[in-house]
Amino acid sequence: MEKREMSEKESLAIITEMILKTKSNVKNRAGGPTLIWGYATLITSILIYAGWELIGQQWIMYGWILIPVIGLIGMLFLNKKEKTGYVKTYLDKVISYIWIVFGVMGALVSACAFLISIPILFVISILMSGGITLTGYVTGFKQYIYFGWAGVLLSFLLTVVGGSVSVLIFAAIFVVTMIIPGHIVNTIKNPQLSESINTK
Amino acid sequence: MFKELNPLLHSELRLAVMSLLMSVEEADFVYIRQQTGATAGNLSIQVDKLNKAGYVEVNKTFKGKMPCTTLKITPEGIKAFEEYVEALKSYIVK
Repeated sequence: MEKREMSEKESLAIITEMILKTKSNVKNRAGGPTLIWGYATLITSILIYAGWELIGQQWIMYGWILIPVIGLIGMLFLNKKEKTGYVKTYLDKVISYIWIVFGVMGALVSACAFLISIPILFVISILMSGGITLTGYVTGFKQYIYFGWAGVLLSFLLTVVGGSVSVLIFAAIFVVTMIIPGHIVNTIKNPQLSESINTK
Repeated sequence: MFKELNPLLHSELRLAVMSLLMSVEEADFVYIRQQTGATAGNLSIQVDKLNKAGYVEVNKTFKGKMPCTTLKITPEGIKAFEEYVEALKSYIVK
């Protein structure tokens, strides 16, 4: 941009252009966190299921701590990847607050589950599916809304199914609510990629 | 009657910076440079003017080993931008 005299219409054009640029930015960074937490839950669930089936000891349940460990490491890598062009929109802030509230609730309920008997897999899956649905409504990504609601409904399976199979259902719910929509959203963010998929 | 346009904001690059910062919570120098297409030197000078006027808050930190300059609009900046837009309306709306 060069230093020169502007007309009033040019001023308005600049304001509009810049505001539109920040709006498109929101759409460019949406799939990463859901994929990280989705895969963290999937990997941990498979390990817990395998441990339960092969070893059958109660201490295997402490393995659930792997979810925040893998998730937080993944988020650190994701943030480091964004070395240049960092921007935080108001929408990012709202989404952060949503996930802080849902994350803290999930962590507190999980901690309680070690002390008292609660249907933890049901509570966590319905909480996280609800969070994804809410994220979908806020960001306008319909994939999160549809798959989020599907996750909410599927969560009720965990009220009737018990044993080690419930861990697999829990993993499947996270595939539905986080991994599938996360990949779809990541495809949408790259117009060239989505174009090449559509033309094949 | 036409209202006077704030000369500090009535500049292509400074207005672009303020418009970007109005729409976001905060942004780093690189993002602003990418979106405006300005050179680092020119952008630095204009950001400094906005900072001295109290319109923009500049925070210099490190992200890993890389220096990171984060920009955020101040309440004074928001007020000045709103007044600028109001003044623009008097030129455009009949």
